[in-house]
Amino acid sequence: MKYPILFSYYIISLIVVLIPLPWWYYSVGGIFQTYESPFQISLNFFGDSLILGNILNILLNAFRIYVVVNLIYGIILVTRNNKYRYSTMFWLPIFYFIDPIIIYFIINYFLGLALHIPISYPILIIGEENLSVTSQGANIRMLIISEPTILFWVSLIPTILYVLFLTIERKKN
Amino acid sequence: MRIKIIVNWGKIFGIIFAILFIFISFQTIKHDYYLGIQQIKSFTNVQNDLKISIVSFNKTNIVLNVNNPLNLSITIYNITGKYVYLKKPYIVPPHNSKDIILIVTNYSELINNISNNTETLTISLGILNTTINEVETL
Repeated sequence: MKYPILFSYYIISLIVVLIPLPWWYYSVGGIFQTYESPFQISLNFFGDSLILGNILNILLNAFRIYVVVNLIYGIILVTRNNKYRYSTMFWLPIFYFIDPIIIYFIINYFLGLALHIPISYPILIIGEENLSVTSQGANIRMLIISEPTILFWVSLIPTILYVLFLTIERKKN
Repeated sequence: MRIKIIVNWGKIFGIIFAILFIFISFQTIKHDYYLGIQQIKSFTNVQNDLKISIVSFNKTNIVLNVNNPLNLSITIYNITGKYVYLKKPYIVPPHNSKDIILIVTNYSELINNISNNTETLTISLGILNTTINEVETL
């Protein structure tokens, strides 16, 4: 085999995609809770599981199927010594570091301005922070919890392998 | 001249299988869409169902009834006014109501304040990791 690192990137990616467990836990004051990954989601609002989450789950599982087929295609081509690159599994974990920054700007600037409510939402990637909202004489303080699961750290292995593959290829040229 | 078209079968089959999956799954969860919308509507009623009403009122205490429409328990940490206070925090279980007792320290002053609309209560509630502090005029 000509590209063992690319091959292991595909194999580990395939295992990660097929494990039906969430990557991340996110909670807004316990009132809104979600366990999610790019391929599945469970939404919980006021202690009730959101039914609309089922519809979202179908779309995410369809994405899982799409990625699985592409990874299998990648495995077939790599075993035939073809340097076929499918980088989705490299990008997915990285979005989890970019998303909180996007959410920060949406909540503070867009939502805050639209609802005329002063919201101080923290930039939080991993950990716990307090959010406080004042509206109509009421002050609401919520604990925001954002934590990766073990599977998220496992999903970083393909990312590392892909970077390794790219740097080795660059050195060859 | 022959043009060689490179077909990415991975992407083509991926999209076909994904669409097939969506098509088959949506047949099985048609009802979920309507149920989901109804569920979202029911959450907007929560604000109306979460009620605090006065049960009885006398010289030494006020009994309030708290109705909890949520699937989560609500903790009432404190209710304080100038002449009333809560003796201990109460926990209202999910889908339940509970009577809570406020202690009155000065009855005549309290009545006076209520008639002047100056008696304000600071209510402090907790739902899981959320704390709500609200000021209400009695």
